[in-house]
Amino acid sequence: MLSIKPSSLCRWAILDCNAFYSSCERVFRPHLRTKPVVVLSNNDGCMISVSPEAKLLGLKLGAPVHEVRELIRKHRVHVFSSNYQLYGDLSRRVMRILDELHPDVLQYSIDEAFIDFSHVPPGEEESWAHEVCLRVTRETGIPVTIGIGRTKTIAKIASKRAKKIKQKTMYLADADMEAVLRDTPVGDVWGIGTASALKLQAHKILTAWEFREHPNTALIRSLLTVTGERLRDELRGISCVEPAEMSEKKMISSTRSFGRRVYDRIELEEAVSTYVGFACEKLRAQNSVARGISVYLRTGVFDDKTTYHRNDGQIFLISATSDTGQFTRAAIDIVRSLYRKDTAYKKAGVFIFDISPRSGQQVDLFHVEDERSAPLMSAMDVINKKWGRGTVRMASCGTKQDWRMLCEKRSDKTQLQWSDLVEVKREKF
Amino acid sequence: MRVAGFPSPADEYGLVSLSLYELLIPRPTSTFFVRVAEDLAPNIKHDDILIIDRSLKVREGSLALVVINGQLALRRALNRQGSLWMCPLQGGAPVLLTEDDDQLLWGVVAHVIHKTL
Repeated sequence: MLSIKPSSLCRWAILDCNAFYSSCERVFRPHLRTKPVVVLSNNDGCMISVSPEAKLLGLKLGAPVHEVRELIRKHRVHVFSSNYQLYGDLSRRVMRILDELHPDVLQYSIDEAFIDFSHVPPGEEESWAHEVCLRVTRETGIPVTIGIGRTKTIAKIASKRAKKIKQKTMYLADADMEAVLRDTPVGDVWGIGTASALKLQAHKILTAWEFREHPNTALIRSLLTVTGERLRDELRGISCVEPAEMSEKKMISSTRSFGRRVYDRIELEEAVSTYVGFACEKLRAQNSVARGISVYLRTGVFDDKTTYHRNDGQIFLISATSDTGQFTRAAIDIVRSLYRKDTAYKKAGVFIFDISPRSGQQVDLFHVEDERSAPLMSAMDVINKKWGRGTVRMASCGTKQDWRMLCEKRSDKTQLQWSDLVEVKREKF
Repeated sequence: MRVAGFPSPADEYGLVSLSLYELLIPRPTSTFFVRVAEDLAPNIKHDDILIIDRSLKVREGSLALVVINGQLALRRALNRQGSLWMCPLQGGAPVLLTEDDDQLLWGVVAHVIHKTL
């Protein structure tokens, strides 16, 4: 017999790891559990994770770290460079536990996942969520919050609410909807960005409740397109937003800022070659090939010593490939055409596009792919996987790599190398 | 390798190589490794590796990592009048372990990898 779920039983939960990167740094350093901790972006520029203790000191997510150096020193805030290997490891553990506990889990970002709660008996949402929280925190050491609601958008609001009132879980039921939404600024609704919020505010739509109850569909549509209408439906309990389905990427990028200003063309070529290597590795990992490559170079945005300058160029290869060598040659050609003398470059990026699956590859009549390419590339991938990224690379990547980003305060306590495990010592009395 | 001469009669039985991973780490999501920095007990020495499974419950006699004054410490759980106390291996005060105390308990030691040479 076919069983159809009545929509009234439809419920979504969102699990959100609290100050995820900071929490990861704390797992192997219990003495930091009550201390203010922040994690900096690539190149140590901005704060990308701020622990609640650091938030209380006035440190804000996204703010440039050089503006708050004094505050950091005064309150002895613990500062870390981002360590994505560590965060990736702990994220994978969290997601696997969710997968074991619930049949339908949709990872939304490194530290968030939607869980289909439709199979949970009505009235037991919070206790089931509580069970998930306990298990994740006990087994991984990462504190988490779960918000539950009839739609993903409501679940998001519930999760925000739970954090605000310092609860681990919260089910936002219809009975409490009005009170909570009246207390939620419309800009806090998932999917409504700053620009959209300003548009709504101009029409006196200030809270999530006013947005939900707004009778003029045509106005909502004209302000926020059909997306806005869907979000309003979601707040009314009608599930209609699908987070982008997990799919093969149509574009692969590798971009990074340099540790210092780079003036030298050869150094730029080295950096770009390195990024091409990373992008091609990703391309091969998803078993795809591509034809297009674009490279951009730019100066610092907040650099008052030079004027801002950004330039890019692209090349289409004759036929699709995943060969690092071919893409590297193209990328170096682009760098040479873009390069301007005496310019203080601060960042470069590589995009690989026009991606297709390897199997459906169209072969160009006049082009025969070098048959040594595939075995060479897979040997490179195997070695780099085993011995660390960049162990084997194109000669054009250089050996000194002085331009690499700063990561002075990178934590070394991970579970990824035998040589840097956390240690246990004798107790001191 | 090329094989000349007679085929091995063992070939058709398939080869099994035992995996230590399977034996020692049945639950990778909750398993962590910790290195022993100095001798902690007669059989837990400098450079040994503790395999911690955070999903395991503490029982009477369990070895576990706990957090004492913000530092990881190795202790043994002993039953005193119906409650579990985390007792130091060298000296110091035992600490009472309450249910679901993730502030005190870091993880139960499932195995110790100990070099004998």
